[in-house]
Amino acid sequence: MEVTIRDLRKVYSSRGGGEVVALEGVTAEISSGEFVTLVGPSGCGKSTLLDILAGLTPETSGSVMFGNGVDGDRSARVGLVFQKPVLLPWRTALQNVFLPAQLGTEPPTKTDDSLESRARELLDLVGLAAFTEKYPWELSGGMQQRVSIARALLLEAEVMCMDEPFAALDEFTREQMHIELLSIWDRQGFTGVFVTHNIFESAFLSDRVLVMTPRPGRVVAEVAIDLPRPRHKDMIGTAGFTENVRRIRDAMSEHWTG
Amino acid sequence: MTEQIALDELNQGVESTSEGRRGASLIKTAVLQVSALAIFLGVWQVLTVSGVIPSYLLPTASEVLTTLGEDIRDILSGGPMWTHFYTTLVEILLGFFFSAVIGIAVGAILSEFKTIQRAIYPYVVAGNATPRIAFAPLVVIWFGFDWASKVVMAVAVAVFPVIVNTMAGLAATDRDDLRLIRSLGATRSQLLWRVRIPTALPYIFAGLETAMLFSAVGAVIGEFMAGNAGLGYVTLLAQELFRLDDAFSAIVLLSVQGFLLHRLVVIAARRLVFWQAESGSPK
Repeated sequence: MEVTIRDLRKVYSSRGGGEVVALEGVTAEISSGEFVTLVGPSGCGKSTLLDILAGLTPETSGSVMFGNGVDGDRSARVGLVFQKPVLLPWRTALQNVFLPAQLGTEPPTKTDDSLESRARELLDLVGLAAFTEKYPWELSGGMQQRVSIARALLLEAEVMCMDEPFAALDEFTREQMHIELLSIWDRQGFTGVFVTHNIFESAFLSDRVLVMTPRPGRVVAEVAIDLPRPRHKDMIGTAGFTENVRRIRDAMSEHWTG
Repeated sequence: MTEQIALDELNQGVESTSEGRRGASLIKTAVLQVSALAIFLGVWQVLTVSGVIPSYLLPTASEVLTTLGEDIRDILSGGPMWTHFYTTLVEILLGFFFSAVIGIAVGAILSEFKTIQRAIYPYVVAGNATPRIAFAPLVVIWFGFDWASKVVMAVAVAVFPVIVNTMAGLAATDRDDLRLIRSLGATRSQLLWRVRIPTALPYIFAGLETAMLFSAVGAVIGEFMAGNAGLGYVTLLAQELFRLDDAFSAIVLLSVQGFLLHRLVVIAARRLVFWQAESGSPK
């Protein structure tokens, strides 16, 4: 499902009575099934943009459109993955993945049984088939994040918003998760919107990188990544990869000096 | 306890070495704790028998132990001490029960209805800061010499930690949990039942643990004020009659009773809030 963002502006009123412009004139078109990364330093509004896409906070002006329709109920179409796994510790992995089916005002269109078997399939997809009955504290950080990805996929979200989902993981686990995420994306066919401040990560994952700068948060450049798919670890460090990283970095430094 | 240790010894033989080590360390702990008690009683005995502490101030340890033994036999055979023990037990449990019910209800109402919270929360804090023991004589006038005044005293002392912890628990939901739940379109009641109440449970149980101990304090204060039964009453009467060994024995029984009741709450908490110990954080 494509996402059209038009002239988005978000203003927070600060405590002192003043206003903080978190986003200013953000316009972007994300095609259906595309994997796009928002990259930028702290305070560039990338998480705010994600929150608006997910319907967690309203825009001040401008619009977000999903598919060809008007902007309606976003929660049904948007899956969210946070930096922390945010799993409920009194629920098993399976029960955590199943949680979205138990919330909301409208009952799910599918039966509980089919959703439960879907939850099992998703855990299988993220490589946790043997861990369905484990509690979050029995899982490693990477496994916990896999559970949260499976949860975001339960209601067949067409857009997956990911807010620095691997930032808390160690380097080795993170690389592994990149490969796995791309393979899940490939199989599920969702539109990916991924937020990070890690340039390498953005280059490795994306079709396209939207470079953002702070004060006020803007999208200042767009870098198309010309690495072939499927991506694999061997690409990191190749001349082609380095060239893409350099282009992101140049786009950043052209508009922002820190 | 002995059964546990015997089991651990058995385990040492058949289980892995880490199990064996755990068993050995349990035995070590038990030995240390028994030794500490023996040293304490030994010093007590020496100080009292030698006359360093005169007998009208402190009975000897052996006298207290003998009396305690008699009292325990009396309790087990359903004698007068059983009535005292049972009376206090029922008072504490009723005090705990009403503290739990009232405390959780009041805490939940205060955290759900912000207007009510703003109107009366300062008075809850003030009530918590008030030494409720000061009301004991009045409570006897209002509720009589029977068990009711003891239970009211117990609730007066024990209800506040439950109120305060229930409120803290219901406010403890993590910001990220809230974002997640909102992004999934949860209703207010789904948020309450699926997330906020489970999040609050460890806090509520911490309050209930305190409440059980405070309830025992309140019941004994009630017995001090009026009445003719209960371990607190026995303690007071024995002190008035200068039968200090009886007084000490009753105090030890109160202490054991409180300890066991507190354990019950801890065990219930471990069962119901099974994720707390493992997940580390009070979630």
